[in-house]
Amino acid sequence: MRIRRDRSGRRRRFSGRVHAPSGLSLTSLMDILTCLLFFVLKSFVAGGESTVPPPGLTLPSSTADHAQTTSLVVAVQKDAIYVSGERIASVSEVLGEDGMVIGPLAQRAEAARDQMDQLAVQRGGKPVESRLVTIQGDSDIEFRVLRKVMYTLDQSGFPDIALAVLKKA
Amino acid sequence: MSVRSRGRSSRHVVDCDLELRPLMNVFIVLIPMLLMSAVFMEIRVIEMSAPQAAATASTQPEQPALHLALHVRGDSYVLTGTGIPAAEFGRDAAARTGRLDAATSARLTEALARIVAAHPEDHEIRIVAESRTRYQEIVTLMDLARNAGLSDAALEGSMEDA
Repeated sequence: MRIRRDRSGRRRRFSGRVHAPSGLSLTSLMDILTCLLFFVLKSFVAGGESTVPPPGLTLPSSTADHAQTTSLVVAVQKDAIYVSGERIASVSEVLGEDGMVIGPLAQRAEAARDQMDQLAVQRGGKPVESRLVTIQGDSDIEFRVLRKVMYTLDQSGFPDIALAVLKKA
Repeated sequence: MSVRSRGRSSRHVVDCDLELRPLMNVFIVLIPMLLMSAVFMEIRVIEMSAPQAAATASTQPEQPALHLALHVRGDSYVLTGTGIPAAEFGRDAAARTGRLDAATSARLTEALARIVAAHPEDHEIRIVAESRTRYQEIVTLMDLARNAGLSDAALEGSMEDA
């Protein structure tokens, strides 16, 4: 009881002298948010949206360490083949055909090749001789699908092929 | 920080603190938006050449002297090359799951490293896969070859599939 009276008396005595800051100090929180913002911006994939594998596609894991560069992107899912995010053929159709060339893929690849050449000429250069294509294949696809895709791309003017993989931790 | 000025007639308080709340509001909206759209996967690429059709293999230009090839067969891997005895490795786990087991990986790496040590000038290997070989298995075999020092891997379809 006595202790409580002493404390309340002390509180009364100091209440006139101590001025607690009235506003909330946001400076330290701002520092944290600024760091977080820069970290998130730095974590973005530089290559753009088309380099991100489509949902449902699991890339194979690998110890490869080559960074990807901007290129035509062909995604091979378990059920369909996509070029730059657009579905162009189903895997069952591809496997049903006898030949090695996938028709719709060849058309799209040739159109992309012509577009690349036109851009190069407009910029004052020569048509591109070596064109790179990145294949984002699902880890469970069979080699017979991959072989047809690679062969078609090679025949359509994309001899340089990069296989996209997930880097092992 | 606040500056308190005391005049003779008037007394006013000037608040010099920065007004951070609007900026805070922008940040609080911006950060979740960026976090939702960010991709944290580390994507890498394996650069390689297109598979050669088995039927045209004989018309290809001159191959390196070793002709090192890793054949994927039904239940085994067969490592062949000019002047080296063919070596066979079991493929039971990979045939079922598409993933190599640690023991097979270690034995393959060891065999490839021995060949690289004996032929340091050769960096090429052909991976001859079957139609039904899984993509993950092919990538793993390419990793093993690269780790052993064979940096230039090419894919090829087996003769049986041609």
